Amino acid sequence: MTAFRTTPHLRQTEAASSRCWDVLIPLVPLAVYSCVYYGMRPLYVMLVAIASAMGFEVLGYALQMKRAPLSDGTAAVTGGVIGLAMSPIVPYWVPVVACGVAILAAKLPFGGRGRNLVNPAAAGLAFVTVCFPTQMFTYPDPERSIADLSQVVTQTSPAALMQAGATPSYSPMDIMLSNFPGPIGSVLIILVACILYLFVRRASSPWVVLPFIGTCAVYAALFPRVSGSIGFGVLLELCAGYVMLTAAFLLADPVTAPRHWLARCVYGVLAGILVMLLRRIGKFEEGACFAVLLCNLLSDMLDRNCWKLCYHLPRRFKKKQGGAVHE
Amino acid sequence: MSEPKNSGRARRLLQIFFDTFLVRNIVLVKLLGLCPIVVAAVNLKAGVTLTVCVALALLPTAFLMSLVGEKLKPVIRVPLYTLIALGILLGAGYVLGTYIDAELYASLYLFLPLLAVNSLMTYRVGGFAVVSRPPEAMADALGSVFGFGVVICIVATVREFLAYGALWEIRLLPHPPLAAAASPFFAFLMLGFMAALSQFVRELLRRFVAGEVSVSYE
Amino acid sequence: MNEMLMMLTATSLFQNVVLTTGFGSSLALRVIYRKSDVWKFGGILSFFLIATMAIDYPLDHWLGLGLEAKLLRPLVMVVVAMALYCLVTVVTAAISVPFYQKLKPYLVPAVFNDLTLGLAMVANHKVTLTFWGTIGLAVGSCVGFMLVGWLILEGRSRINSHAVPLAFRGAPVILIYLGLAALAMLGFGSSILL
Repeated sequence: MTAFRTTPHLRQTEAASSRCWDVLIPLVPLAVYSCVYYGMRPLYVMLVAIASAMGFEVLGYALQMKRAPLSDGTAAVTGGVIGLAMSPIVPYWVPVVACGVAILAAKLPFGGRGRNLVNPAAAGLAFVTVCFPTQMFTYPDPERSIADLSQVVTQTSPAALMQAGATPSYSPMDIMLSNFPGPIGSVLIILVACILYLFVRRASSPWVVLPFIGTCAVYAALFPRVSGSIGFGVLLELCAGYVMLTAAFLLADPVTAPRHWLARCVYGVLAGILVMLLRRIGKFEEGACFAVLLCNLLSDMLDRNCWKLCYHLPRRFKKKQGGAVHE
Repeated sequence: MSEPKNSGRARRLLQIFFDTFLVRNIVLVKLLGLCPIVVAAVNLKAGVTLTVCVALALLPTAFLMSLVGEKLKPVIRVPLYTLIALGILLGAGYVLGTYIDAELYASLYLFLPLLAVNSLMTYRVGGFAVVSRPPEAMADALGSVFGFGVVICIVATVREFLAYGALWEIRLLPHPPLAAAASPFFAFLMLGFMAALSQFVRELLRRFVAGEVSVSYE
Repeated sequence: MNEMLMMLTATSLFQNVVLTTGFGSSLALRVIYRKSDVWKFGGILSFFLIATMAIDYPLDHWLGLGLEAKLLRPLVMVVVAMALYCLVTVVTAAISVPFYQKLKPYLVPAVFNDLTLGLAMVANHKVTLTFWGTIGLAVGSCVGFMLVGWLILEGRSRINSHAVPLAFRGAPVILIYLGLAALAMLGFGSSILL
């Protein structure tokens, strides 16, 4: 067992907690932007998700007779990210269930903050995707108000259209401004700004995010699912569903991503391939959360092997050279 | 081993029984027999049938192996108890299919022969019964049956209710509340939480008793 | 050949046999404690499974699809596997006793696991698959089993910390870990085995 502890990375629990508040800030513009289209409901969904995540955290710690460390913000971030991946007209109990699974099954059994093996938000999203796909993937028409939920006009999302083999007819501007049926946090421009902000605040790693987005884009360009120009296809693949949201908040989470730069690159590329593969052969129109879960399970192994590759191999090589000179 | 008194022996047998049944539950602590629970236990009827079949297969083989097991080489012993268990289970399957419930048999057709090669058999019959005397072996086998039965029935009840909105095939809800509960991941998660609960209770008990609770023979 | 490759990738990766069906999960948890165990156990398991499936294939077709065949099919397979087990034991013990002693702890679990995975395949697919498809299914199941064994090993070493709450330490957290892994696999769709 000790062999695993000697790897060069440490669990950066303290640093992770201060970063969490940095992650919470970018959630605000995303939610507010969504309100422009859909009224106040996206904000309520987010608040319900955040509140329930914190509630479950308190409950879980209470069962252990401890006070929940709510001030570290990890539970709030989990709730917020789950909220962003929801449809604006999702019933309120869906984010609550997702948060329950995220906190009570994926986070606290493994030891809570900084110890979770998989991203809690990804686990929660995967659970609700498997259990309630209809509620998850029913999106409203962004052109109309959703004030009265019983008379909402639903539309097929671009991700579902592409899965069915059709080409969505949206202009590139509409796609970038999220003027299509999709989850709350799907507006490309703000998501890119969020990613840059997280890079600057060092709450996310370019070594993960850039290879991930790059792989997704290259895959979309090489194997297009839509007719039309390659650029349009790539844009559509990146904006449909919550690929960019995954890149910004789920994948590069400092607790579950690898620590070594090379391992991070491999992890990003692997996640990119899996996300695109899941869209092609998977059961659901968006499978990014499954890809994140699978990559999380592998992250420690990647770390160990890449560390070996980068430190042991050059040393051995040098030793050999040194030996030759000595002779 | 010194000759135990009659009451001491009964106490030891009870201890073995409760140890496999509850204290260190065969499924939740020793992680045996997961496959039928994870895959087949989607309704209570199947759960009860599987428990009965485990009892039918485990008790005679455990008894036989505790009698003659040590005299046989493994090369004869392993095929012997597997084939006996398989024979019993195939017979039980035939009876179930022709006389009791053909539909239930169709859904369990695969799992009855699978019980004969389940890890329950290898570890309880091939591991424990072979090196024990008949009373101990029977106590352990009964404990295994009850331990397995309790867990599989709880899992099956919850999953049947969530996945089909029914109980013992009587529909209680118009729509199933959680159709995905029938898939294996749900059973794994549920078993994990049940195991945690049992560990929690055991820990509490240990603190109350502050003495040794279980005998270790593994 | 195409069918073989399809079956192989399906059962090992996208619809991993252990995670999507639970077959062999308890043995994977019980037997594997070190890295070398994964390869040793997996190797012995592959040998048994491939040999059993290869021998069983013609017998199975000979049995046909009748009502008695349904009852007899598992029996035939168990007899084949048990005969293989006896053969391996006798031959290895005759050749080299130390080798047999090394092999012994893995032998019985491997043959039981072989039967678990094998019987699962017999039920639904054997009759409709070609010979190479069957072999692909067998190899894929073994690779899938080894992958899960290795994943459990990976998980064990990572979960083994004092941060894990007392109630969850040991078996419970491993089961939850397996549950999350199985959940991750569900994105690829439902099982082909059942």
